[in-house]
Amino acid sequence: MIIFDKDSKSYLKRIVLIPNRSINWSLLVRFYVFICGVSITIATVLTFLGYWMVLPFYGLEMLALGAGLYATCRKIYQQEVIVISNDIIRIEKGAHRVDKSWEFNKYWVRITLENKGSISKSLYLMIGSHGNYVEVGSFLTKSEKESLAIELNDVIIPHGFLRRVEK
Amino acid sequence: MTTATTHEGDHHDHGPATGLMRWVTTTNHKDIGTLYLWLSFIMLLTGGAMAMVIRAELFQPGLQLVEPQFFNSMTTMHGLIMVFGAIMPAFVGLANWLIPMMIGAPDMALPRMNNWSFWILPFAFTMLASTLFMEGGGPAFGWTFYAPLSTTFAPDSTDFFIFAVHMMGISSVMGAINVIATILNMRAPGMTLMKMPLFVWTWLITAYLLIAVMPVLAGAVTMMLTDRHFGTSFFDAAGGGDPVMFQHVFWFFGHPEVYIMILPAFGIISAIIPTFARKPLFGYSSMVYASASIAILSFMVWAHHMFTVGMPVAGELYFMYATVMISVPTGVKIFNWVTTMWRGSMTFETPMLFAIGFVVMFTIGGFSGLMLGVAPVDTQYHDTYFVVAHFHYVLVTGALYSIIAAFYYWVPKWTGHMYDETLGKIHFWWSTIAVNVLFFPQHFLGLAGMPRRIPDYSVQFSEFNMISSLGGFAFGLAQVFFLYIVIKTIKGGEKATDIVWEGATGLEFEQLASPAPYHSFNTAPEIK
Repeated sequence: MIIFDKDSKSYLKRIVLIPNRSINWSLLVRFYVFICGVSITIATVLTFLGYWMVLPFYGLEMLALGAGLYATCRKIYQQEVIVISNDIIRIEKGAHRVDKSWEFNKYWVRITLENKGSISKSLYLMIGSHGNYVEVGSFLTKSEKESLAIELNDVIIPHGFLRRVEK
Repeated sequence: MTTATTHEGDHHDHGPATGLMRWVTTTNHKDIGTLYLWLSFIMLLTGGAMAMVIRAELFQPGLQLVEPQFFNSMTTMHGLIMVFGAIMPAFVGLANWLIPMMIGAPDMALPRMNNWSFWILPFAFTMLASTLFMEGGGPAFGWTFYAPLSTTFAPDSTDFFIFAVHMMGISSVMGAINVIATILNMRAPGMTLMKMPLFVWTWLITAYLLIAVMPVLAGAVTMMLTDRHFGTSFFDAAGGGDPVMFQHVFWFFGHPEVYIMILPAFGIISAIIPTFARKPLFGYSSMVYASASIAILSFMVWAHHMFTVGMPVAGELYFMYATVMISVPTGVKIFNWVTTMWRGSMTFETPMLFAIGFVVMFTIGGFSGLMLGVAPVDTQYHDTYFVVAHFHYVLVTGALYSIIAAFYYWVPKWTGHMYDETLGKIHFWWSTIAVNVLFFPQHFLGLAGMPRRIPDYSVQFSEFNMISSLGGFAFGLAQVFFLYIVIKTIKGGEKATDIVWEGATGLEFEQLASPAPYHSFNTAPEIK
């Protein structure tokens, strides 16, 4: 998903890129609570019957499931922010906080769309200059990458051609 | 903040690493799927070799080849290896290969855990198999390891069996967590739950079942261990415990386990039949609800495995009705598959043959299951060869047939080569004739009163046992022939097209090349 921020005094454009989240956080939590509920019920009944040794295994398993779901969520809660100001383009990547960032001089920047593969074409949107490129929006769909590339090109290199590479 | 520019253009579009370490360290879902499938094939042949020992001993009445203790070890190990080593890992292998490709994800959600969950298994099965060479012999109490056979009267090697079961359980739980996390979190844009292929749906439900019941198995074997060595009496009547409760605990795990081994098969058949009938699956949503109903009901019927332990009539009535109720959602599935084929432009390539074989023969197994679910008659059938015939119709012509069908259906996508159609058809007819010669007479043996798990029998059972053994040898050979087909297909063959089958649908056929690239869906597909 691409979110375009309105112009502000500090920048010309701010674009937020978010991966597809096929389940939202609250639904995932409800799913986890449901599974825990079923497991706790089974474990409690067996414990009352005297077979309490199932308890630690259910506990460990629920912890592992929770950790697995949380780790996956961290991946899909990554986001990328492209901030375009008068002279600088800043790219930030991270989840909840900026983990990595890059800055490019706006006047030297090139936007490149690379197409690779046969029917399963993978499309890569690259921003950079002087041979140093950063891939942005790797999680976006093809059409989202196309529209983002055109948008970036229009803002950064008005009237310039979008560079397309077939590999 | 990093201000230096960085080159990040490697795109992860490299191929696999080379050498042995590729397979040891891989986190790629396709590699891990391949590892699971090969392990399950090796286990199928190992468990199959044990079945050959069993059928060779039963070829004639009397004791010919092996000691009764070893015979019991063979039935025990055959069951454990086929359930935990062949069928379950094969479905996990298929899940690894197919789920990311079907939902448009680049890989499984937790790739490193995926690697661990596979690599636990070879060690677990090596440990289990090693018990056969230990003093006192391997476990000989049946795959259901009822107490006190598995506690008071078990050989020392049982402790290794317990540890192996723990390892298999850990692997299964990790696999299930991975499947749930992948399906819930990593679907491509537009891939809503009700657009998911049925194989993905059935695996989501299977993973949930695994999560729900695996701790019961872990708890049961741990209680066995403490009863054996730490002075507890969970299942020891002399110390105030209850051996019948072991059966309750085991089957509370064991019955959902049966559905763990058949639900993914339903998903596979629901993919194959529409392709070769050239019609969309009839009643997609009813298939989803039927799978969920089967899963829910699977928790409520466990005691139909133990009608003869002496439970109250009310209990017998409840478990009988609940069991018979499962035939409703299962019937919905059979009806939908048949209706999908009805007036379709059907062709009969090998995957379709195995799928139709599944529908027909799984239904036979379902009907005999229905008979066993009726408490009054189960009193006669219980622990006879009728039960053996029933669950082999469900697990061999059901689960195993679906796995073989899946191989023929998706192998062109995996390898880029078509299998040899003539050899595939020979494999189907050879297997189908042999499997019926093997298992159908066992219904008659059971109805006539031949008990299961015995190395010797009365002479009136000789003919049917001889026929059954001949069928068994033929079926075993057919699977060696299958191994030849698998290797031949991997090594070469006619080049597969990207769509592979004329009527194929789904992301893996429509949006990926054949063979599927090492990293698929680096760019997320859009589902309309």
